[in-house]
Amino acid sequence: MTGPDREALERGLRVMTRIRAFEDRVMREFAKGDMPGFVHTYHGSEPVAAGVCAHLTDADMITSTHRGHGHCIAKGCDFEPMVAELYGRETGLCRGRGGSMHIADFARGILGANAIVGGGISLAVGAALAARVLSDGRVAVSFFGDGAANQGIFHESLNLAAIWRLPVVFVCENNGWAESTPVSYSTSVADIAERAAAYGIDGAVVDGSDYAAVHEAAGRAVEQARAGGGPTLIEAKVTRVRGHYVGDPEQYRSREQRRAARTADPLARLRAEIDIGDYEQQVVAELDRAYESARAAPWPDPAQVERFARSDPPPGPEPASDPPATERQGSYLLAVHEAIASAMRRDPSVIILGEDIAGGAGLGPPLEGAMGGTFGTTKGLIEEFGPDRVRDTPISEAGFVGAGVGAALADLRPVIDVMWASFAPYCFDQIFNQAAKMRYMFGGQTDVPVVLRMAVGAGLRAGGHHSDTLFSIFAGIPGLKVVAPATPADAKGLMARAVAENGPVVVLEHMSLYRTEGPLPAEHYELPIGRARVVEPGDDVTLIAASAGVVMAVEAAEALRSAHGISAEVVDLRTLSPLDVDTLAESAGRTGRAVVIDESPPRCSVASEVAATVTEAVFDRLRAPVARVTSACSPVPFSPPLEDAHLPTADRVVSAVLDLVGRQTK
Amino acid sequence: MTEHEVILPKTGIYEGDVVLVEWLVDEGARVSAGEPIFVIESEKVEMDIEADTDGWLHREAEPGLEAPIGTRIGVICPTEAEHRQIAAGP
Ligand SMILES: Cc1ncc(C[n+]2csc(CCOP(=O)(O)OP(=O)(O)O)c2C)c(N)n1
Repeated sequence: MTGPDREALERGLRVMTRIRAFEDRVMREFAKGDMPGFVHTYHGSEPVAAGVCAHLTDADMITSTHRGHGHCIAKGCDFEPMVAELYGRETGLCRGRGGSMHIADFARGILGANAIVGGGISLAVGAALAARVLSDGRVAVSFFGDGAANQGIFHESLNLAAIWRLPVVFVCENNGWAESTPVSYSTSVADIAERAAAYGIDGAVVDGSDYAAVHEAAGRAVEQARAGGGPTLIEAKVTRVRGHYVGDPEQYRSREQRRAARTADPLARLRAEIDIGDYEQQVVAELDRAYESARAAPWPDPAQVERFARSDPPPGPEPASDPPATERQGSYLLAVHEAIASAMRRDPSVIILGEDIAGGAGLGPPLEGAMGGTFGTTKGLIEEFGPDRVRDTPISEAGFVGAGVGAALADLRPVIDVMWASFAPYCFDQIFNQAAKMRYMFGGQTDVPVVLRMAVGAGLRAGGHHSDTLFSIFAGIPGLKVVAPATPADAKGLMARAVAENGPVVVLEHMSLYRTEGPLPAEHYELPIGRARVVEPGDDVTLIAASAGVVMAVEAAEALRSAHGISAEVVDLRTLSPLDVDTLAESAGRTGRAVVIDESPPRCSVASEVAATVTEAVFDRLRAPVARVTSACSPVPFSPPLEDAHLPTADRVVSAVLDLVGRQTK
Repeated sequence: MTEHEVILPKTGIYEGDVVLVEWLVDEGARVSAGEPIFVIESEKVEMDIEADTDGWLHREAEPGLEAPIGTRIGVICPTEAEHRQIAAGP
């Protein structure tokens, strides 16, 4: 591969001129005080964005950083919606929901700037995975700083991209600093590109102030990726000409050091060689117009503060709230399996990802007899759908959940098996900051159709790291929908619906229920998210529960009836977020008493949320305060007597009801 | 008007008043973009503020001034002649 020809150099100089003018202007306008928040500029790195993006089309995808204006401009963003976004206006690229650090333009393959250092790297791996599965020739590029190269997600991502030979290029912009920390202090190797060797991929160091050099190195890497030759790590050495952010006092470098940094000008060489006439004045005029229109543009409507927070329901009428009638019996585990299998048959964009989900099939044929997940829920799927769509992963929760989320931005519908919910903290960024916030932060430009499956529940003597339910952790995140089915029929219908949803859905599968049997319709059907179900009608008290708590509630209702003559209504939440307030209010308002059963610890629990919601809705019709029966406020213990004491039980539910009946005030 | 305003800038997230601590260059001096020309204090941290264009500096405020972000404290004139004219007053 030869270097760029004159025409390519001229195009590069134009792009760099746009970036430089944009950033100079940002500094000037920011100083005036009417641009909200804070901004980071790209001074000194212009050849990197320009030289890399020269090889990309609008269909190719990039992930960017808090210092991302240059990436956007090089990928072809218009100034006007960019500037409007910097000012938080409704006409901005993300309708003002994102700002400088979360800017995105999906029409141009910009899957978002990311203010979580390293946050974009696994998303690019996922975008590349989608390109690979769909065989559509797209390439993904992740830009990130030297600071990000010390994040675990960087290492997990390089390994994933390497073992799957994905069409992705990792571009590390090494400007020598992570905020105030020099790379010489923070990094174990002289060249970050050396780290490519650890993953058996190509690494290249390039002078990031030399447009021709970047153009050539990036061209080679993009061509290799597109041709199926796998990933490359490019480290571009650049100077951080300015402070970390606009207005950074830069106490960590002397006046002389600052002075020296300011003199670095990677545009100078090309400017001396190539005449682009009055292009710079044209760009300045374009910026004048962009600033004028941005400052005059409307603010977002405060009444729409929650718009885009959650995905819209799938198109079409809402499915019936009850599963179809059937004589057929089946287990909860079979229900989960059937829902996933039928979703995969119906929609070729559904893939499944996770540790051991094929199980032993990573080594290739014969595929038969592979383990099919720790619990066996995905057994047999590798034989039917093959290793491209049933993808075993290394033990890299952050990496593969991030990859699943990235793939969801790039036309796949991944169903990700996190295995035990207790492992989810390893991928919390990918769930909380990425999947759950993207639709909102990007102003509705994208949906994130991803399903996160997790096994929950205690009682199996598994101890503190394999027994959590984490109900409130997920239900407390605005961008997620969370379901926790209690029966085989619900497990099937809610899983099917979760895959059909356009936003992230967390499906919490209770381990103690996997072997339980119940009616299980054979056909494909969906159940609506956000609809509770009255399991047993009653008059004196409402027992509200989800997941295995429903079994407990039914047992308690039976005991209340036979031993105390109390008629309890059992309501299965089915969905933890959003709550079905109408059904809860109707039932509790009618019976006048409610007890909420929750297997998670009590602080800020779903039980607390339900209690507050019911109280707000029907306080004047309650005859006693809403009671909560939760697990103890401790990690789940190992020793059987301790674990039994930790968990809610039907007996404790009965006591709570008797207490309510005794203390009633009206 | 072709001269370029020098203002007390917003630095980072802080939006309160800013103090002009000292001028680093003399009245009428020739300055170039990127050169520190005055020091401010904002949120108890002092920092250099650089010229964002080339030209001749006219100072319009005295050290010790505490004023809101965006307050004009001088101008940078593109030519020496324009500076002379502005320094002479209206
Ligand atoms: C996960 C995370 N940790 C810390 C920060 C705070 N932070 C923002 S930018 C930054 C430095 C990043 O350095 P680098 O990746 O080299 O990028 P650069 O700013 O030099 O472009 C830090 C520590 C953050 N935003 N996200």
